[in-house]
Amino acid sequence: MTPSPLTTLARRITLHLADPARRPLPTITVETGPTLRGWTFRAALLALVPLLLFTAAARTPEIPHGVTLTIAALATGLLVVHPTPTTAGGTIAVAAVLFWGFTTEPFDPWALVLALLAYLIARTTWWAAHVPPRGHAEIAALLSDWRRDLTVLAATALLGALAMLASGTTIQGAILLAALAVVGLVLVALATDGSSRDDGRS
Amino acid sequence: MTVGGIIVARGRTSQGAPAGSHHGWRPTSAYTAAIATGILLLTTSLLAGRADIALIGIPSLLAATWAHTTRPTTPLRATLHEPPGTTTPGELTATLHLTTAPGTTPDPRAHHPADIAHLRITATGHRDTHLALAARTTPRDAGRQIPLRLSTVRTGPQETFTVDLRGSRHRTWEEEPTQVRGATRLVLPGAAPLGRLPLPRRLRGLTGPHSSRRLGDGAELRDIHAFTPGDRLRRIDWRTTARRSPELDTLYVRRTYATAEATAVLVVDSRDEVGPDIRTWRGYGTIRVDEPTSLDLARHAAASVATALVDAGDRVGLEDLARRRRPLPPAAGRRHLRRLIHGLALAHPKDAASLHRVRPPQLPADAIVYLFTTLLDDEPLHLVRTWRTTGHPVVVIDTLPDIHHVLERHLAIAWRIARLERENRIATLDGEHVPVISWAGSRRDQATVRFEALARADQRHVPGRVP
Repeated sequence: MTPSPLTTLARRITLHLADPARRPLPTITVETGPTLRGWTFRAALLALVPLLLFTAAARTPEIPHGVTLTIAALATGLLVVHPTPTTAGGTIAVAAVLFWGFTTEPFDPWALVLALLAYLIARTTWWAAHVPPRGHAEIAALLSDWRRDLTVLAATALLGALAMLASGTTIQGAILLAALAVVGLVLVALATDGSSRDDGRS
Repeated sequence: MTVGGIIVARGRTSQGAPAGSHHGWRPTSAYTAAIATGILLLTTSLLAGRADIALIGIPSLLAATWAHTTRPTTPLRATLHEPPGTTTPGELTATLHLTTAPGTTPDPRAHHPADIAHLRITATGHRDTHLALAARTTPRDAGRQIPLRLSTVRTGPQETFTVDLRGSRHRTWEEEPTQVRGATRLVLPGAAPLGRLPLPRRLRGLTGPHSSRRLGDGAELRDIHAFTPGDRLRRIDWRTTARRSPELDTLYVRRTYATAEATAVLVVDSRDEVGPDIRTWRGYGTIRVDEPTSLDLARHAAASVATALVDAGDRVGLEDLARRRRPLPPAAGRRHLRRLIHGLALAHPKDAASLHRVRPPQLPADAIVYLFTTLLDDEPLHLVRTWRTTGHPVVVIDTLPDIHHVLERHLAIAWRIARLERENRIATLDGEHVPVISWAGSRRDQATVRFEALARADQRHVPGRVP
């Protein structure tokens, strides 16, 4: 009895899947510290980009939801597929336009949240561009610049608080935010644990 | 020469500046994008009269500007340290040393090393490995060491690591990529423990681990014989003399067999090297490195037999069918065993060697032949018959690996024909009482038992044990 074409096809697929010659090639063992897989950066972009764009658009109710959705889908897809600094910068600029909405609002404190998200997207995009999905990034490398990042974010918070105060926005938290930013800057500046001085002395 | 796109001659750039400050570092597109986005948002905020828009681009702008002020001055260097000498399967290792120490920078305060090292590590038969690592273990260190290991089970000369390296600093500066290559290393075959092995029917030499057919000094009793001139006095058996000749008119001595050594020649058929995937037999595709080829099996089997024979005190020689110029003559001892294993590791197919008719190598008289072959053509059959005609016992070790199933119809038919021809050859050898022992896959465990059975069968021919 001749087997049916479907049976033959199923058998060939089974043999193809079980073919030992088609196994992935062996890997090179490299002893490092704890690492993250490269695809996690793209997965993070998948969450961060819509979060940035929807947060920005939420501050401007005049923008239709469909427009926001389309922009978010396009920007997210572009950044996940093609994570380059240019696409990240473009996405941040688009988020700023959505946040602006061609309105003349006073200082919106949500800009601080957007600044944090934009910075995270820029950083994550850099890592996604430099580590292929199957590659690995050492967590120690990810955290190598944490003092610098903290300082930048604290300085941004300080600037934001000052701008908020200058714009006359009556938010009591702005004073607290500025104070926290100053304290953060001082802590980062004085922190010497684990970092060498520029002159090479400990 | 060019360093980071800058032409350097006699230690100076074309502008006359010292070349020491240029190590191939250049700002990345991330820096440009951060500056452009920041300026764009600042402009927009000015036009819109809203400071909060500018704030969105401030962190990236600040970070990029800050990082740009600390231009890296020293390159990230990498060196690959490999253990010297030969190695064994599964032990192909190396250590990558990353160094960020200040080089010729006159001012230590200007030492701005790379903080992230991007590595692409490649090796033949392995997947490429992409890594982004911290360039230093701690900020106080001048670098770090990264152990590397390959997953190959292959033996013989093996290409090792190629590492492409690029340093970066604060995600703003990037270095020109550099490459570090490992040396080709020789992987020696390992040896599996074997018990007793078949020996030649006639032994040679005046001493050795085996009992020969000759009379002489030894431990194995041959007979009791009347004393003749030349017999040693300490060999007189006084009990027998008292029993057989109470008057002591005839003395009786105990005569023993002399000891001797066996001579074996390992003949490795290295004319071809085939893996378990028959799609690679015609030279297309890459043979996987995590599966042994026929030559790896031959090396392993030959090293195991050589080790067992040398440990027993016998003499072992080596012949390579693809490389006939420098055979290793039979000898004994640990140093000779190292020479044998080294020679086995260097055995490799020669161009068109499988197309030529093989002339049987000249063998010492009374030597047993261990032939390691895949039996994929008729040449081994001719060799075996020639040797047996001249009185050499032959043991054939089949080194063809277990073949994977193939989907392609034409390959399946080709393999079926080749397999039937091969089985026919094995049956022919079996009919001519030539033992064929398989060394592939699970049958390797049975090889020790087969060798032991053959050695026991040969004991019937050992002088002194046969009445």
